[in-house]
Amino acid sequence: MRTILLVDDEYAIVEVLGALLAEEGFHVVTAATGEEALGKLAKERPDLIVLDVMMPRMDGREVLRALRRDPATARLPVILMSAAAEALRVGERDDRIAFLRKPFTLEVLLETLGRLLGDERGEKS
Amino acid sequence: MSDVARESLERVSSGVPGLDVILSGGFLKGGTYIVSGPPGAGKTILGNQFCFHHVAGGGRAVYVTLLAESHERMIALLGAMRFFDPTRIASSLQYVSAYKTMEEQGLAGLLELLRKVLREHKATLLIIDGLVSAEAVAQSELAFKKFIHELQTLVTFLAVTTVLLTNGTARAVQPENTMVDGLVELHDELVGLRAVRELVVRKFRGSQHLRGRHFFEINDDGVVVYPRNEAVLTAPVLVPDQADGKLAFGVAGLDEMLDGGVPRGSTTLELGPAGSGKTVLGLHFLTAGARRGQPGLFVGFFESPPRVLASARKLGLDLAAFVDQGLLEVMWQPPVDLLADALAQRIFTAVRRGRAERIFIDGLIGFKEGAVYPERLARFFAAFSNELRALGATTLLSEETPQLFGPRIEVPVTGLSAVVENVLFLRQVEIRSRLHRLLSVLKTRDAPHHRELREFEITRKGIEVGGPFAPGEEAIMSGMAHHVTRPGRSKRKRKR
Repeated sequence: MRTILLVDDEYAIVEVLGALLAEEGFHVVTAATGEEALGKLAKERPDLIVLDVMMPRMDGREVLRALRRDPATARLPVILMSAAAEALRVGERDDRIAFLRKPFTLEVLLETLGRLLGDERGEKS
Repeated sequence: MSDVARESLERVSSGVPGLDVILSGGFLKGGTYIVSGPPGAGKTILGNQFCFHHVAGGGRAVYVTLLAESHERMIALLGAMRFFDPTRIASSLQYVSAYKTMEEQGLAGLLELLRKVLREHKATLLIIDGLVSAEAVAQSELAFKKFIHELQTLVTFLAVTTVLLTNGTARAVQPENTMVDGLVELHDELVGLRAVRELVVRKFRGSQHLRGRHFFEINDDGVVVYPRNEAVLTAPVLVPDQADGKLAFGVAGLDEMLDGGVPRGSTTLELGPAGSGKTVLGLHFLTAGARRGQPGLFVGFFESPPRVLASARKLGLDLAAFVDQGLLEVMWQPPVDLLADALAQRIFTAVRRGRAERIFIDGLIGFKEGAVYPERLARFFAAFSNELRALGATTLLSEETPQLFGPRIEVPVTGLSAVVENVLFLRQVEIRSRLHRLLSVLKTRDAPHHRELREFEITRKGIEVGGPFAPGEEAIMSGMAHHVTRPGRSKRKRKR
């Protein structure tokens, strides 16, 4: 079973999207802040992070930089999400990063997950 | 978000006639909307109508009831509606009773049920009937807001357009109203002795919409909304190219007074008391057009079409032949519990159907009764006549002045004289114990006209207009003429 770390300071996104992804067969771990997300990495060892950009204190871009600095997580696939297109310009482009502008549908997220995880549609494994 | 971006958002048609016009094309896909109104306002019918329309177009809908009522009774009552299609139920349209789940598991359980049902059914439309029950179950206002927010988040991820039906509550500010993408209110008001249904869109995020009150009816088609005429038709109209030229009445003396007729595309008001000849003049207008191959439309409120045609025949105007040839349509609408906006729609439809170039509307009572709020009439008629002009029609309106005789001449609809381009005035006057029918042109816009009074008769050949009338009389059109003696002239006469 693939593990997704879902990071967003908006509780409804975490609650609802977490439940939807769980129904899709993923093991979902959630975090409400960047610090909490980094703190869960070692224990949960996610296959992919779905990461909100605009969060207080430590935003998604800072979390991404921290991930890339650590050799253990440097190649971890990340989906950055934000309601503001500007916020998705992080200056880093590689095939392990995808960008989703909120609001997006579950269908779009599953397609993106599938692409980054190398699966057909981010399916349950 | 720019206006262009807003307008490009994908729409979901409601299937409620008129409502999509008010919403600039329909609800926004994936949005969450509240439809509120008191019991009996039409919420459940509207919700079901939306569902059946949606599934008929290939969508999939879920209708969730939070009320302690069975679906069977609701479905039985819907059976009389034209949109009802039992073959859709339990296939593309699912009815779900969530009352028990909500009662036992609270809002969290309800949300979980909704998530599962929407996904299993692959729904693209969700109607939740009885939102007020969810509010009653919520342990606090905050818990209810949290439910609404999570529901909105869920349907956004699933791209399910959602409508929440609610009676509303007594609270002055309802937090759920501030959270959703749009708020549609249904009202059932008493205006005088009459009950009228009104729809108001209070809020519609991300899109233009027609603000203000719009009337609606509930009939066999379900909820039918009539967007307020003057709100819909605000854009300046493009008058067709053939707008030049005059349309004659086929009444020699009057056409001479009008320098050939009324300008094509104009609106003319004929004023006069009962029995002054307004209807007959209107029938001449239609006859003259039909003889030239110009299709016409008669709109009346009191006489049935057979009686109108029989009256015309007695005046030598064979309108029945033109009806048979498809050159004339006679529309009859008794002025009982009418809605002016609905009447306007019927007339526009008839004009388009028959490509009518001449329209005679015999009396404004249907509009005055149906406007409900008299203060809107001048704006209503401005929009109405503009639309008819845009459709290539030339319009003649008749209206009764209140007094048979008297010094005051009133246009019965405030502001109407500014809306119409031409005004004709017909009156019977008493001069030396004899009644005379008189005709005058009070106003023509951008065109010359003769300013004298003409006497006319209604004969078996219709109206016949004579020459200038009664030199030496004054205040004739007041109905109370008096003779004027001019000293100079009298002297000269005596010299001779």
